[in-house]
Amino acid sequence: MEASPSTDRLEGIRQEAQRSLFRARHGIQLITGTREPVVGATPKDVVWRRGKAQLSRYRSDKRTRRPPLVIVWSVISRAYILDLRPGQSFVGQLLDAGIDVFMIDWGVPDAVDSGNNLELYVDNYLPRALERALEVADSDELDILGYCAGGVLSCLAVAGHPETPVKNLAVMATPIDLGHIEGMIKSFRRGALEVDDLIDETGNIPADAVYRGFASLRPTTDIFKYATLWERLWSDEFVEGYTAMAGWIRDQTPLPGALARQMVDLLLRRNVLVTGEIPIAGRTVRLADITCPLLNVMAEDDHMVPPAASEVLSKLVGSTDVTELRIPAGHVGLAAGRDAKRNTVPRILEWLNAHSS
Amino acid sequence: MTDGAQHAPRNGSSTMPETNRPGRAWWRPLVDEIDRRVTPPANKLVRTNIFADTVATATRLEVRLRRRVQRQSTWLLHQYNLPAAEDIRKVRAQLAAVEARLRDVSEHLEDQQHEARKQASRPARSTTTKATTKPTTKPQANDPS
Repeated sequence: MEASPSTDRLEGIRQEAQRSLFRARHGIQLITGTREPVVGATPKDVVWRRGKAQLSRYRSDKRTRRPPLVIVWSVISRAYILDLRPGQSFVGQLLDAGIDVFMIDWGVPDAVDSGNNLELYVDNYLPRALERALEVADSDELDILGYCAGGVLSCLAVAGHPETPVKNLAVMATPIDLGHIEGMIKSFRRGALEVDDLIDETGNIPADAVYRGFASLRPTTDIFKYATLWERLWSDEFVEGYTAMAGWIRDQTPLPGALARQMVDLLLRRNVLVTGEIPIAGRTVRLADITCPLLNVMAEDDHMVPPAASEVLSKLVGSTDVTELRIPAGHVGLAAGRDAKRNTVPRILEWLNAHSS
Repeated sequence: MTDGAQHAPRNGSSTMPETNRPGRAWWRPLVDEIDRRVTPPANKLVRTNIFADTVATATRLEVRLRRRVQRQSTWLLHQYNLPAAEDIRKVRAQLAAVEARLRDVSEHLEDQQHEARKQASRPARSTTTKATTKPTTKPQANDPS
């Protein structure tokens, strides 16, 4: 039996009233900041710590695949994006596939860390963290997955420390040819801006400046993001996802001053990564010394690290087994959300499995 | 940066029943149209050299202004023998430098202990080759002096 038009109208009014109620409730929670999304919930144990850096091993009773995988996070943002929400976790998907997952998180630098430089990360922290991962996993070799600037550190560590038994190296959205990076980076490249213009009283580039640098690349995003939020403010699930992601985007970390100076001078103005020969701690690290299989993952719609900035890596390494993977996603979508779940993780897993024997 | 946010989950256990899920808001096509018209030129603009130079100039001006105000307020406070934020900053930076030095020393000791332990266990595991511990030097936190 069909409902009469007046019943339909009444039902419509009732639904709209209900949605308005949810909108009001979620709106108040967002404005007052009382809605705290649960992020990075997958249980893990810290197995190594030095300075602010720490290596964690995710708990799992499904570990079936060897060698272990060490994720090397970027020095700029927070690592929990890879474990943003239950059911939407990059790490969770890897664990479900039987991988023994470790994560190197560089922490939040303060005044003590303003002297942290490339050498510290590449020659001190990374080799020791990787060595600890080998010990804890009781393995003779390991796989590495580097994301964004973490990919650069991974490449430099693998090339600069051939004694580290790396079986496979995978990098995601890794900037090698920095001539293709836009935004505030361009001001540094052109010499219009110096690192010292942004350094704060802690000796670091503040997190807010890092955020503004990224946000300036897509100036209208914030405005239209709010329109989407308003449209879907009634939905608990959407608001949960929104607060988690928006919180992460704002939750940048300061960049150590010494590292920032090196990045601007060495990697940006001299663009040494693209030459494949990088002077570190008085020696030359050659990307050609990377001989293990390499997976170079790029995001086709990446506005921060466009594929043109990453693809050159495939030609610079000495590996004979190089795979390029282009995912139809953005810089963040590569690591979190629907695209990561459906595309990035399954394809990385496929490659790792093909290279695990 | 917000591509992930746009991809936030849209299905599942909302407290609103699925059957109550509304269609698109009436104003949404209008917003999308503005987005389509405004976003591409805005994205193009922020990638120009003029924009990069303008942002850099504005940033430098702001920094210069802030530092000048800071210098003057410091001078004023010092006239009355009062500490200024600049003095506290210097003390904090010195403390940070000391803490960084301590961190380096303890890390160096840790490395030596680790190396000694490795040497001691080497006869038992002589065939294992793993990452070596190479002591590295690193600069200290900024010294304000």
